[in-house]
Amino acid sequence: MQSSSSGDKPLYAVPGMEICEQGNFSIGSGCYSNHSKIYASLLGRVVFHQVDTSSLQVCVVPVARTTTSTLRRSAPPTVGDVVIGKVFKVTWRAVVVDIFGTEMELFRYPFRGVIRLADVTNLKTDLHHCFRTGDIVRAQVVSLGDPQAYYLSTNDSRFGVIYATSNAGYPMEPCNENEMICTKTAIKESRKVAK
Amino acid sequence: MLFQRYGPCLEPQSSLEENYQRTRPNNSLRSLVLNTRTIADAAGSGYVELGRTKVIAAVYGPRPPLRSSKGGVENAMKGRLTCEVVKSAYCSYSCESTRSQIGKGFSEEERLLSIRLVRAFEPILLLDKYPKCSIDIFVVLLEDDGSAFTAMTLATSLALADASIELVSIVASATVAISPKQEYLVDPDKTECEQAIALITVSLPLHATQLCEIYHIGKLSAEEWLSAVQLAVEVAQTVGNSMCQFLLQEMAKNEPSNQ
Repeated sequence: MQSSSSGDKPLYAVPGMEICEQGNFSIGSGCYSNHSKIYASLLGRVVFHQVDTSSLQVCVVPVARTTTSTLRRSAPPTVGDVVIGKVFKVTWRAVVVDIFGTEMELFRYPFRGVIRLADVTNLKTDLHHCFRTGDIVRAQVVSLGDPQAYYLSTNDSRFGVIYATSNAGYPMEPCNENEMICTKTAIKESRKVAK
Repeated sequence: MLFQRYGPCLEPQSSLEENYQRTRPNNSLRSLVLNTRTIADAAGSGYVELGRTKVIAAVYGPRPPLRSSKGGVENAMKGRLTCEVVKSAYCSYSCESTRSQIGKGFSEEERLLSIRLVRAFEPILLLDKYPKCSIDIFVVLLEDDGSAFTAMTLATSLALADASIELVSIVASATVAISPKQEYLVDPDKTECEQAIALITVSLPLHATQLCEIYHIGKLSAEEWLSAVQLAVEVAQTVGNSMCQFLLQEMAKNEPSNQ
């Protein structure tokens, strides 16, 4: 990644500032194009990526804040993100999850996600044997879904329940792909376990 | 006169400020104070002082909408902008009648200001980049000494830029009052606003070719209206340039500490 600098000073952009003519540049995050000119839409530093041998991509990278608000991610989840959430409700055809973060960082605002029956696993099972309310699950965002929730999927072996509490109230450990065992009472319960 | 004050026995009161003289030239703005990051928790915040008018704005978002909107999937593919403007209990001066309805929800005037802000900023945000999210703006008017909406627009612009929300452009704003002596007074304060025969507020995105909003109260001929609007646009351009310079300075200040 090359950063463009005229001399020593980097180029700062204000929303609405014209960066350059359209030319061979492709548009990255933080800018938009209008009438074959590229304008910035964020407050930040202008950065030119070398995408392939012939074209450069223009991005505006917002200056990171030094306050504690950088500890949490403010951007919503996008398609393909692996997210972690807590099961809020299990019905016969969907599992509703409160997404509170990705593997790397937490979100500032919790989002709603839904794992539909077809996306839970390849085999047909009763959803109550896969998830229970209060389980922590890892899933992948499949699409933006409907206005109420993102659509998630646990179809892969990496995804599924990563932490659960048994009916007796004690934490459970995974024993195989479909079962977890309570640490205190040694009772097995069925879950869709992540690897 | 746009606004008439009445005494305790409902007689029209001649303004206490009849001998009011404007101390600065007609074309000049009052002292402008800009600040960002005043509210630590918000995604972005801005504080503007125009003379004695003080406004603080906070932006939260993009976050999942607090109130689920009706309308189905098509509406949800774009983000949503909501705004709540609150006039603080101490914003007007004590010689005016106190609000008898403090705390009973939003007053008519606050709702009008909120709607105006939403309509002015809706074309400015690139809402297509924030599907299913809501961007919430909260504005508090701390002291109202004329051109309050101008200060609100400036504060909201600063807050949105500070929150790293994608904008078409920074929005600047200016107010021009036409006095009974047919003078164009830029950035009027409260007494000038009340004595004026017309008030024009203009909001314009700096790097685009159209205005966001023109707000006009009073009676004007077409030529007067046109010259007032042109004057307001020029003033807004200068304010906007100062805002951009301020934002660039803030960025340059924060950069070395991060590297």
